[in-house]
Amino acid sequence: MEMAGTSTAEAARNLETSTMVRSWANTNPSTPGITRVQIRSVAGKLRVTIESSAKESPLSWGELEAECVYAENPASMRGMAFVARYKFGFLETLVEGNVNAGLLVLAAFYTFRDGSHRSDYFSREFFHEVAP
Amino acid sequence: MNHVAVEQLQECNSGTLPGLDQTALTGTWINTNSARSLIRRIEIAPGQKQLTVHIFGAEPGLPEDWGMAEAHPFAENTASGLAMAFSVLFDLDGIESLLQGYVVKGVLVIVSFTQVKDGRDRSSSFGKEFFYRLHGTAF
Repeated sequence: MEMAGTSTAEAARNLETSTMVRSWANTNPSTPGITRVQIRSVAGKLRVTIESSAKESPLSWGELEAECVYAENPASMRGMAFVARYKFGFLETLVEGNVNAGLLVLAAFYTFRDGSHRSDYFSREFFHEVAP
Repeated sequence: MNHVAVEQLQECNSGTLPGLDQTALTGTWINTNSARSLIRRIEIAPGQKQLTVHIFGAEPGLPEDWGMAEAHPFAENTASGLAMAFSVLFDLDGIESLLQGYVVKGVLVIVSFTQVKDGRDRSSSFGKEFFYRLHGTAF
């Protein structure tokens, strides 16, 4: 059984996270966005690795610790959602994931910090479990 | 999917971003579920580059009026000028609620990530609720 707390609140409950701790692949194999997500539990913390599509080989965003893990309701100890934040300098991406009926739903909010003309944008993609 | 390929996720400097058209998000939104929920009503007002979000809560133990917060709007893709989602954080004195909102076919979907910060006896929790817009309230 995988357990995870949060890095920001020592008093937070440790939630059971086994439904999230696995490898996930996009249900759309031709996505131009996020292709794979790996979620691990390391020393009680949830760690997230994201890969996205690129012209040649997949682009790894690297692994980071989830900011917080969330249960399905206030009385539950079953963790089924998380928030993580990637900071690339010119771009910040807030990633919010939740597991529902065996599917990982990932919402990503892309905020550009480079002063370019591009609109900040939002994506929502779906992932199924795969072998690690 | 509507978002862009990774080659567009590269640094560039080419002009100033105008504000997004916020009309798809603004107005007064009512929870479609009148039973127990986290949020009863949402009022979203336009701003120059941000939205102002006012939340009226429904969950016991949390305020009925969450107050107002500035929300960051997001488009469907980097080339779109139409805001269709937002993200906003509410500090509720010991509880933080990060709300993700997006509009699908006229329905506002709010995904909530509510984090316990003060050690109270409840788990941080996730939720999803649906809202319809009161007629005539869009700005």
